[in-house]
Amino acid sequence: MAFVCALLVLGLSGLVGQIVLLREFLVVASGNELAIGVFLGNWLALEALGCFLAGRVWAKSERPAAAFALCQACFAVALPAALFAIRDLRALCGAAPGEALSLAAMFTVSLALLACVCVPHGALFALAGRMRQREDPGRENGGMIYGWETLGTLAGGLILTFWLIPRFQSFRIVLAVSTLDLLFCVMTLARAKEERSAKLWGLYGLGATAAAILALGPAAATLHRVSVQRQWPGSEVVFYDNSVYGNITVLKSEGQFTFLTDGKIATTSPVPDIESVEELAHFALLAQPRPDDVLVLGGGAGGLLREVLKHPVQRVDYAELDPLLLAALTRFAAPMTGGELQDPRVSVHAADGRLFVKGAARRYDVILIGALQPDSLQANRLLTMEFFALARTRLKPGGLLAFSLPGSTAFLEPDLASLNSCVLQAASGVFAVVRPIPGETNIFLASDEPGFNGLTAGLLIQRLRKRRIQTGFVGPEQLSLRLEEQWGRMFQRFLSPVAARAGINRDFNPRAVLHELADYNAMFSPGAARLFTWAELLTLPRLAAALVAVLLAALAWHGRRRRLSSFAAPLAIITTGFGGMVYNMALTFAFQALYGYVYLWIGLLISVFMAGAAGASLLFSCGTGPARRTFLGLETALVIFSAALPMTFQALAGAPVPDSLMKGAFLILCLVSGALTGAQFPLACRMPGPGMASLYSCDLLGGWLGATVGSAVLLPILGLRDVCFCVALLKLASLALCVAALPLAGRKT
Amino acid sequence: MKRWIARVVGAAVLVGAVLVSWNWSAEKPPFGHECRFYKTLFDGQVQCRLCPRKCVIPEGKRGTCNIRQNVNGKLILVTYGKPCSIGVEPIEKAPLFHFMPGHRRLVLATVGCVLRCRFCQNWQISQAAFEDVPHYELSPEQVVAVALHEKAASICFTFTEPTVFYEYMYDVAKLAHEKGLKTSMITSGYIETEPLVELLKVLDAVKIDLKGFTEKFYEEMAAADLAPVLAAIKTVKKSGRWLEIVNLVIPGQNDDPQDTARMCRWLNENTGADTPVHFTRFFPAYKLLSVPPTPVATLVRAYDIAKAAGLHYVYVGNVPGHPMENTLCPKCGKTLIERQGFQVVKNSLKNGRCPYCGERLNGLW
Ligand code: SF4
Ligand SMILES: [Zn+2]
Repeated sequence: MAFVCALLVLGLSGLVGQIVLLREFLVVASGNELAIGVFLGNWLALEALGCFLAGRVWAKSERPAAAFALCQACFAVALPAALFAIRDLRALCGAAPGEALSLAAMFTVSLALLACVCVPHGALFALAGRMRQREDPGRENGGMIYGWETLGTLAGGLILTFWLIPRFQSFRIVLAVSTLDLLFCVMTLARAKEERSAKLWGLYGLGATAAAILALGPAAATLHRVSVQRQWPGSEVVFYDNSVYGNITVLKSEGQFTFLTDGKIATTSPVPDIESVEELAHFALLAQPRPDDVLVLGGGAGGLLREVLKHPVQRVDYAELDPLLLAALTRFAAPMTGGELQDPRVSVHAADGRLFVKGAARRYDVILIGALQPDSLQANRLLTMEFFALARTRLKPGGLLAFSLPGSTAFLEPDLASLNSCVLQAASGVFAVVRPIPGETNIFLASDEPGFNGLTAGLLIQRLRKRRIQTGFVGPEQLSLRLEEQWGRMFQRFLSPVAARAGINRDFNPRAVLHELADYNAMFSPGAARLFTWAELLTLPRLAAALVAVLLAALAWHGRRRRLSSFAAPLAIITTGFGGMVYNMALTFAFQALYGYVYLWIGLLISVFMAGAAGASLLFSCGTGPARRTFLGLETALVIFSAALPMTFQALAGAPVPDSLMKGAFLILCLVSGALTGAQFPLACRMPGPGMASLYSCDLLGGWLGATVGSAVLLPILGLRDVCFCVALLKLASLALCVAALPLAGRKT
Repeated sequence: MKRWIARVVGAAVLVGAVLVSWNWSAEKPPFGHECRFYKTLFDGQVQCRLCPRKCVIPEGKRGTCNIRQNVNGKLILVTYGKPCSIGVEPIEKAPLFHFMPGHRRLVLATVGCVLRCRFCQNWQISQAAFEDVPHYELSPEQVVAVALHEKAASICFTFTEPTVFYEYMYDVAKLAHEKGLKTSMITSGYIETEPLVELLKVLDAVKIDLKGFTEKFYEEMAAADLAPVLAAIKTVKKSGRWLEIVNLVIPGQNDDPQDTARMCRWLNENTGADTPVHFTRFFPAYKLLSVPPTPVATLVRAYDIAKAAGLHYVYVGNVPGHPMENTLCPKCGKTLIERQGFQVVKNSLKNGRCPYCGERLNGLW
């Protein structure tokens, strides 16, 4: 019983630690969800390393409980330390406060940090096995340990998602986990009754008490405050909190409030970025002869609304995704933001822009998208073709949708040009007219009313005067400057060469995020950008062709001498591991594309996936004897599942199903994909070829490849659908190989 | 037998591939333009004498600015006649406030920069390699023709660091003067005295970015030194060309009031009270993506410090609509030029004089 509890705690603390650190890491990585793949891949690899090392070092240990306690204590200490360090990542990378970090720097430093956490945690798995083996030699325990640990993981996912995250700060959560772990150190030692370990009890007991005091007392809050403040020297952090959508931070300095979401500046009050705010609002509203009903999606408070309200509008609906951001904006209201939100014409909705538009009964003359950059899947949700199509149905006849993207009058770098191009193409696919107004920020007016094409500065100036609008920046001359032909020519010159490769920005193929990321990478090394351009040469047909070639070559080599027999199972496991991780990430990203709050749900999605894997693995490990048919059946199921997954997404996205059903569907898909991946492992162990340990490495290798290559490179480049098809192809190849190479009598010789 | 054939063919293909790629990677002679300020050293190296970096450049390599290349012992400006950016914009965007207010200038830039500012707004071209950025082909004659055609009153070298395309800039500016156009340069002032003196003969106005007033800031944020910038400021002032100073205030980096005060006193002593100074608001750019924009209070404080140091024309920039964007008469304090962003809304100067008290304002009006 105590042993089972220890296993549960092992799983639970692993998952809680992983997700808490991942969420903090996302904030440092400026909210880009692609970092999730890299993070999880590293976590996986390091845990495997720990497991492997422990297996080597303590394989014959007579005091495995002491070693177990030691590793658990290391984990308990390293976890809060890593949290502190991740928040301090900029300083660790040698960057200035507020300076962006290169992906390479983030990758390496986080790898080093995670090593301190994951290696001891991975070791625990191997040590638990050794402990059990010593107590009860001759019994096979792998399955049982795996099962209970996974159950702990699942429990961790549920507790974290629904109870801990909404209530507690990261430091409190992490320190509580440390306390629990240290308590179990004592328990493990007490239970094992090994020699010379009594002294250690006291030590770990002391540690547990200390951790408990830190966790429950004011120390956790202090640690939290200090670690947060260290990131922002020079400003006072007056607010730092997590919502389901992400992290909200408010900085104060010299009477100015800066609001950050996931470490990125959302708005500044009392004086915002006047140029971009005024230009977006006034171009959109001046273009409209009678802007009665206006809808602002995101980014409204902090200037945009104020500018909109200068026009003769009757009603402004303002939907802001994150209620916490709204709360912060209200709490630290400068006179302007307060006034904006309290204007009787404005109704504020703490609602996701997409869902709001979906459910909106009203129709609008102008829909304004306030967020500037599609630098995350979450932000990209308002700039996809699917969303544009939805928004179009909520416009009055002659209504227009306006949004802005980063631009430049000096030079539009190819990645930024691609970013503009893919969103422009998405809008053009939906609206009859999309009028770009290029400049330092590019403004786009999209509508079905052909009149907007002929929009002249004269007309806008006339309306500006008639409406008696006072501005700081947008005056008559600025309006005519922006509409000068030279910028249009320049814009065309930058966009036309990239149009083909830019693609169309869609929900499940978020090209804009990719181009934004490429631009970000180019900042640190132009070489990396070129790598991305190269990677874009990857297309599904090319991959398929390459795969077929490899397969044919392999089969030819296999020939009559059946040289491949012992490779078939490991290859199947690698591709399955790859596919498993890709499914996991694809589900995560799809969830984000549809809902935008994977920040909350990630723990749940991952633990359900793992539960599926563990359950299936236990189920299938019962049997013995030849399993060729089952194995091949599973391979086939994986091929079908990979091909069907994207269609399921499409169907789900388009179908009018209630939210709860939809989320249920996500969890079921997670469970099924986990189960399909997990089931294969015990069967592979019964196939000819390498033993369990090597197969385990194959599984991890596949998972790691899936996380890094699959979800951080292929997924953004190919899009959700094609990357799933890619997995289907891969599995098809592996199936073909298995059919050809697995001997009919499948028992290992 | 078959195998042998396959091997021979394979080897031939391999050798061919190597040769082809060799040929591709070989330095093609750039069709640039020979530089003016450099010295030939021994064994084919040259030393550029244009900016304080004074790069020693081996055969085939380029200087820090990435566009000056040693080709067979000759230093070549790769971007001569190959601008990456050209357009027509108001001069207020520069900002140059005392240089024919409200006029339209032709802006011109090539890739390359001598500095490495972490807050660069044009990093896509300033830090790029020439080959990675599409460019126009425009001889100095053509540039001047475009300016005349677009009815620009001046040509302004900007966006990146014009120093690096010195020879091109010089030729364009010289020709522009011959055609009656004015010229200006927006620069970090990172240039040696001799070439600067020579250049000033064909320029009318210079805006120098005095990015901070400590060596530490220059070193950490721009990988450069402060001293040469100060020297350049003095040189421009001595030449009698119109000079304006811009200080981009970055929170937590160069906003110490004491440094600002020292800077303003230095400027007053070395350039006189009549040199306009702009304190501009920082917005997240390039690598400094999560640094908050400068609080307006900080800029107003800098304004007050500068005024207290005796400077006559002080401005707050990048805060459109702020009253400190306007030009006031240093004597009677009346508002003479009213601005709204990049527009001049009202200009009541009469022949460069205050219509209320008759005070002459310094500038090219
Ligand atoms: S101009 Fe360029 S090559 Fe010449 S010294 Fe400066 S950085 Fe070096
Ligand atoms: Zn006067």
